[in-house]
Amino acid sequence: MDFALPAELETFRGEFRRYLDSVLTPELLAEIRGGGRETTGPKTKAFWRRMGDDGYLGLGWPTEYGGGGRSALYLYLFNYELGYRGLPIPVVTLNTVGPALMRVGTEEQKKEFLPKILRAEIEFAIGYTEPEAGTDLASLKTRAVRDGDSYVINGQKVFTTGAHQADYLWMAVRTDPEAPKHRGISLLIVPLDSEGIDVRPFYTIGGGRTNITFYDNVRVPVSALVGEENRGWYYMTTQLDFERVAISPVAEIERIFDSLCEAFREQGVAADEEWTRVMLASMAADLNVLKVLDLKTACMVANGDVPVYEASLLKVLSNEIRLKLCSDAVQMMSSAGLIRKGFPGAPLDSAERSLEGQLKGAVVGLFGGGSNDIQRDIIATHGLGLPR
Amino acid sequence: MQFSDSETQKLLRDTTRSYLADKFPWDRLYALEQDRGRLTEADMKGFAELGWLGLLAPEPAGGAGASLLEAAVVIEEFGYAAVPAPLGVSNIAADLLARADDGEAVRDHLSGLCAGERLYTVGEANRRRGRSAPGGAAASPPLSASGGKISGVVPLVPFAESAQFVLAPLTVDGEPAFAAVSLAGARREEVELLDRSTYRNVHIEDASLDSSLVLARGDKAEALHDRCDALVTALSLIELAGMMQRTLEMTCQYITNRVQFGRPIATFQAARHRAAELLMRTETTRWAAYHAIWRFENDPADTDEIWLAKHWAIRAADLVYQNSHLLHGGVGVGMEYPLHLFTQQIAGFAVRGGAMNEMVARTVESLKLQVAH
Repeated sequence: MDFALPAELETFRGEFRRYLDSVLTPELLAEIRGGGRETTGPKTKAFWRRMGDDGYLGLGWPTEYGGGGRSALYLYLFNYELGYRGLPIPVVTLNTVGPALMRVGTEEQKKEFLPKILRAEIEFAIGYTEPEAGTDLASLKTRAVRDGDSYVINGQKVFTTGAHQADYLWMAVRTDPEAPKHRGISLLIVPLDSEGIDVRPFYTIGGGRTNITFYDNVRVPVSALVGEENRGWYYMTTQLDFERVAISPVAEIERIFDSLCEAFREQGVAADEEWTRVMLASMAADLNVLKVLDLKTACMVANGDVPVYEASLLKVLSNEIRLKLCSDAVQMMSSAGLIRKGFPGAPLDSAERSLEGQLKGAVVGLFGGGSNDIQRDIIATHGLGLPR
Repeated sequence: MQFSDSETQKLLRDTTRSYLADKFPWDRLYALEQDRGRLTEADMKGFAELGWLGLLAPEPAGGAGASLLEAAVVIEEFGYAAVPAPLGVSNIAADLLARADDGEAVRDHLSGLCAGERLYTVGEANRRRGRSAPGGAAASPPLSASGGKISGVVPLVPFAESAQFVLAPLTVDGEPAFAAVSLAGARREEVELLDRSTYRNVHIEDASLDSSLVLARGDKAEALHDRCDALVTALSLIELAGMMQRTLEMTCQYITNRVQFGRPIATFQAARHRAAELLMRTETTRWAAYHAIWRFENDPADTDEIWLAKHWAIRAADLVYQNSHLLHGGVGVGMEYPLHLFTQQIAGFAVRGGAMNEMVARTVESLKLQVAH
C-alpha cells in the first residue's frame, strides 16, 4: 500500500489550479452562475475551446487522437477541480461519444468528429431513454429502417438532455425487431437539424431543462451508423477505462460541505444547536469515506484494473450521501435554508448554488445513470458473487 | 379509544377531499405553482363559506367552534391535495385571538377572519426556540413598539402579500407582548422558497400601534407565543402527513402500472421494500401527529409529544422524499408530473414549523437530561 500522490500529479494539480485561476474571468463566472440559463453561454463555450486549445479537454484521450494520454489519476484531479468549482464541461461528448468513436467509429467518422470534439466545436446529445425504456433500456422501440443508402428513423426519446442546443444526437435505435432485444440495437449519429425532428422542453424540479424528442421519418445516410449494425448495445455498455472516473459528485459534495462549515464558522453554532454539531461531524465522516473511495476507483483504473462493483458502490454511496447532506444542511439553516437563489437570505455555496436547489437536484442522482437499486444488484452480483 | 375518524371527522374529511379534488385539479395546481401559490379571491371566499378559515374560532364570533383534532382533519386534507392555502395560519390566528384580553376588539377581528374579509397569518421564523431569522438578528431588528409607534421586521411570513394582519411577538415599551400586527403600509419584501411559494419579510416602520391589536403582555404574552409555536408545529405536521400519504398512494400506483423487464416494477423486491418503507413512515407520522394534537388539546401544557412527532416526521419526510423519487425515476422530476408538487412541499414542511435543532433541544429538555454544572 502506498497512498501518496506521485509528485508529478501534485505538480499537475497546482498547475491546473493556477491555470483555472488565470482563465476564469468574473464575466465567465457570472455567466456560469447566472442560473436559469437553458443554453450554454458564449463565454462558457469560449472557455471550453480555450481548454481544448491548451490540451486540457483531451487530457485522458490517447495521443493518437490528439489527446494528452494521461492516466486516470490526472483525469480524476482534473474532474475534481472542475467539480469543486462548479464548472461545466461537455461531459457526454468528451467521455461517452469521443471514446466510443475511437473504438468503433469509421475512419471518416474519427476524422470528421474527434478533432472537433477536442476543440469543443461540436456537441452531442445522447438519445437512449424512451418513455417505456428507462431502467430496462434494451427494450427501446425507436425504429431505424434501412431504405437504400439511408436509415429512416421513427419514434420518441425522453431525457434527451442538450438536444435543443447540440449539433448531433448519439442515438440508440432498433434496427432488428426480430432479434433478441439486446441484439437488435444500433447506434447512429443524427444531425439535430435533420428534417422530422421535434425537440420539446421538459423542465425538472432541479431547475434544469432536458427534452422530449420526436422523430418522424428522419432520414440519415448509412454512413451515420457507428460500428456494426445491431451491435449498439455492446457499444453502449462497454466503456473505456478513463470513462469510469469521469463522473463523480464527490467534489461537489465537498464544496457544499466546506461552504456550510464556512457559514457556521462565521456565525457560530449556538448552544441549542447540538444537532448541527453532531450532523456536521457525521457529514465530515461521510465525506472522508467518499473521498477515499473516489480515489481508490481512480487508482484502480490508473493501475489497469476494472472497477465494476466499486463504481456502483461509489455511485450509490455518493448520491445518497449528497441527498442526505443537502437535506440536513437545509434543516440546520432552519426556514432560511428553504430560500431560493436570488432572494434575500438565500444560503449559497462557494459556486453560488443554493442549498434548496441542490436538494432538489440531488434526487436525480438516485436514478440517473442507472437506478441505485440496480447498482445494488450489481454490487451483490459482482462484489459478492451472489447467485442471481 | 379509537384510531379512526369519528362521524364528524369523517364528514369533514370527505367534504374537504371532494371539494378540493373538484376545485384544484392538477392543472390548477401547476398554475398556482407558477404563480407562486397565489390563491384567488373566489378560492378564499369558498374557504370562508365552508367555515374553514375560522374552524378554531368560537361560534358566537362566527367561527365553527371546532376542536383542534377536527381542524387537523381539514388541514391534513389540504396537504393530501397539495393546495397551498392559509388554513393553518388563519386557524392558529383564530385560536390565539380568541384568547386575548380585549374581548370587544377581538370579536370584530374574529368575525372578519371567519368571513374571509381579512386574512390573518403567522410568521415562520419568529419562534421562541431555534435559529430564527436569515442573516441573524442584526439584519432583522425584531418588532418593538414605543410611544405608540411600531417598527421592526417579521421575517418569512407566508401569505403576506394578501394578509392584513400577522400575529407576532414584540415588545411594547420594553415589555414582552403578543399582537395581531397590522400590515397596512408595511413593506413586503418577496422571498421565494423551495416549493416556489412566496413568503415576505415584512418591514414595519413607525406604524401606529393603534391599528394593531395587542393580545397579551408580560407572562401571558409569552404563554401565547409558546402556544403559537406549538400550534404551528402541530398543524404543519398534520399537513405534512397528508402530503406523505398522497405521495405514498401516487408511488404505489406508479410502480403498479410501470412495466420494465416485462413486469410491473412493483413485483421487484427492492421496489416493494421501498414502498413498504413509505407506508411505515407515513402511517407512523400521521398517528403520532394526531396523538400529539389530542394530548395538546386536552392539556395545553402538554407539548412534549408534538416535538417528538416532528422529530420523527423530519426523518420520515427525508425517506419519503428519497424513495418516492427513486421509484418514479425520471418522470417524477418533471414539472408537468404531479409528484413534485408533493415532494417539494414535503421537503419544505420538514423544515417549516420548527427544524431539527429545535426538536432536539426541546426533547432533551423534556427528558431532563441536562446536568447541572
